Amino acid sequence: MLPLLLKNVFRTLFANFRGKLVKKKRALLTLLGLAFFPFLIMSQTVDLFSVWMHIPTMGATFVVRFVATSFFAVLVLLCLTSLPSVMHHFFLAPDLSLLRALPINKRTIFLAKFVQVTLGTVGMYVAVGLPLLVSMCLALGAAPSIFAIMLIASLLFIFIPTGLSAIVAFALARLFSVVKMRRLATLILGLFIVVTWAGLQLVRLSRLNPASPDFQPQAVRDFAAWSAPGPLPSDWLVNSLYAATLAQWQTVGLNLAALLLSAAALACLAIVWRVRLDHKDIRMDAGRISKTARDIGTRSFLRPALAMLRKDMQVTRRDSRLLHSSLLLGAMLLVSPFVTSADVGNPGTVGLFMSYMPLTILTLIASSTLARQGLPLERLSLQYVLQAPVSLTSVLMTKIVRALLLIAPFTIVACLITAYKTGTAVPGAALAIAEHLSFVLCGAVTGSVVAVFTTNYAWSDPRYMTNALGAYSSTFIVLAVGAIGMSIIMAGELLGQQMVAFLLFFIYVFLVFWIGLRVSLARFRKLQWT
Amino acid sequence: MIKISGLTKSFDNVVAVDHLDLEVGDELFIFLGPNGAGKTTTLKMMTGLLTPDEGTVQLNGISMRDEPLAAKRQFGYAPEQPNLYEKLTPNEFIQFILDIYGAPDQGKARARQLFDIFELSERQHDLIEDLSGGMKKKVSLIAALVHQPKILFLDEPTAALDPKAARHLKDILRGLVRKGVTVFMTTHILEVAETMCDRIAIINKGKLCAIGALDRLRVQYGSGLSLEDLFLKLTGEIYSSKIDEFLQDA
Ligand SMILES: Nc1ncnc2c1ncn2[C@@H]1O[C@H](COP(=O)(O)OP(=O)(O)OP(=O)(O)O)[C@@H](O)[C@H]1O
Ligand SMILES: [Mg+2]
Repeated sequence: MLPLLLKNVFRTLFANFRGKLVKKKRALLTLLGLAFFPFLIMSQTVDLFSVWMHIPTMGATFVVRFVATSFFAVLVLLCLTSLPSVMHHFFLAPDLSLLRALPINKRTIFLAKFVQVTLGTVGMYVAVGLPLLVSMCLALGAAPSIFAIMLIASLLFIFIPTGLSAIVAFALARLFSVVKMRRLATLILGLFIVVTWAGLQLVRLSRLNPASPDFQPQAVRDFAAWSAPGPLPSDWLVNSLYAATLAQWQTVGLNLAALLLSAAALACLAIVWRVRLDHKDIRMDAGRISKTARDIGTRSFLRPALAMLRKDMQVTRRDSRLLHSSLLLGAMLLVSPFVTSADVGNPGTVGLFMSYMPLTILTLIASSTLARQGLPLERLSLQYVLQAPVSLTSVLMTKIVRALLLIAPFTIVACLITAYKTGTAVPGAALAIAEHLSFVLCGAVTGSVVAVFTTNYAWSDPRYMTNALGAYSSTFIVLAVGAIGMSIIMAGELLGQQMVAFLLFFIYVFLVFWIGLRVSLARFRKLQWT
Repeated sequence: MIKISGLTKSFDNVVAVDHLDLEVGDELFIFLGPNGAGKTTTLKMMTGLLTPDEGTVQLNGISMRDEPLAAKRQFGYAPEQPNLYEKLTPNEFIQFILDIYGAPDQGKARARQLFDIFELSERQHDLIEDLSGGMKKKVSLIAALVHQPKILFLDEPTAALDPKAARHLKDILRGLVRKGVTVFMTTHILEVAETMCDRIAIINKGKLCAIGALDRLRVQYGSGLSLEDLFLKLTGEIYSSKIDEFLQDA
């Protein structure tokens, strides 16, 4: 039975590569995006590691230590990735009730689910974990045969985070509603990613690189003094590879055995526990909303639009995927002023302009991304809006305003932080805020144009609605639209005609808004509800 | 008043609705037909969700093509699949509908009455994703009824309802028709059609086969026929020999 179940698991995993061309393209583009990470990580680490290898006080042990420490973070990341997935696949997946009705042993079902959750983390592992190991092996000058050991060790290792998350999830499942926990777990994963990303930006690797001008010997000493907490699966993995390069086969065996035993023990424990949980009640409700919906409070023509806006915000707040992405982008906006080096903000106004530029780009991308979700979040319920006496213009406007409301507060705060860091005077800061809010508008309009055109209109599942082509093209289009705006402001700075430039800029923003709305309306009108 | 003429819609290779003409007054009108006959497609065109390839729709004299907003103000529509916003509560969803239709304050009172009638008062603050299939259907029916439309389009409203709720719905619909509301509904439950309709229409493969009051149709196609016999006579044969074959293998 297990092979049959696993075949099905693989089939769903690769379903995106079969069938419709649009779906295939989307899957391929996503894959391409993921493939970018290994290159990024390897380009950062391969040279760094070989420099360390040549410094007597650092050497191989320092490299291994560094990789082991980083791998602890990878382990945490994998645990956090599989936690929501465990809650989904072991409790909430719609196929569970079907599988249980079949004459299959429950243990077999949950073993298949265990494998399924693990397969879901493989992408993350290949993107961020594997490149570190490859860099390490290259730096240590290992024989090519080490890659076989790397494969085996990795294969054992990736089951461990699934097992750990499963045990945490099952312990919590007796106490809290699984649906609510899945929501929380997704949020925690998102925050972890943002914090790690911000941390990596702040703690530059170049500080540990003796070949770089930023090198800080103190940072190396601090790092060396910091000891990882005890023997962890990530250490076993790294040590087995290190021992293999030294041909200490006994150590290799011991470490691999530790990986194997702990993976097997965790998997068995998880499966047995999950089977036992079947006889306990597990809460799966999404919870009650205690308040009665209040009246919108206006009788004007704005009332339907406000009602739609309120509904969109409620949906955004309660849908973990939507909440997640807006918080993620918001956090990135807030972090961005700290990350970009403020040194370019020399007294000349052009330099000042440059120090806002990363924020501007991030603002454009964030608002277009959020605007792109506006239509898909309706799912099949869009029929209630389409059959109601509301104009399509107001529907589209609501989507744009939603993106504005979600992004504008973060943008304003990020502008204030940048202004503080660069010592911008009050009028300059106010202008920067006005400009960035205009960029938010540009981004939101562009995003909703792209959404209307690239949405697949597979209403039942919003994940299939926003295709990767749309995501990539919207990034390019929004940056092009933003670049024109930025060059108008920049030209004003260079020519010393700021006021004229700002006027032209605001006219440009208005044009983008007006044309974008027209174009998307024309497409939206042709929409068929099939 | 609903008036459609020459309504046509085809998908890739099927003609789902084929030059359909209908005129429905202030009555309870039931639209019958086998699966895939084109009932839902007709309703989607009448409610402006689909643009017809040909033909026109007029609701209370207002053309759906020329004045869509005014036409949409005339009706309430409960679709075949409820597909509600899963992340709202029934209470919030109905308030959303009231706000969108600009319904007056008594809307709130009507909502409360309808929640009571359909036994949803207890669950109105739970997220819709936690409700059962029948409860979701009830919420979509309440959404169609709550803003006092003059025309009601209901796609299989009694499907998934428990007998008590179905009975309540039937009583409400009869009462509304008496007050001058036009009710246009599809169903597969012939008993519902037999007991409550003023007139029925039967379509098959997108074409109208018969229309009229039940008694008149009986006169036309043979007296003593039940609605079931009539339906089968108009929409195709029964495969009794195939069933025998199946039962033999079983
Ligand atoms: N989006 C679509 N794309 C292609 N064909 C469609 C689409 N929607 C409906 N059809 C086809 O149109 C025909 C009529 O479908 P429709 O849903 O109107 O039937 P129905 O009378 O409501 O059936 P049921 O009793 O099963 O609800 C069917 O042949 C169906 O396959
Ligand atoms: Mg139908």
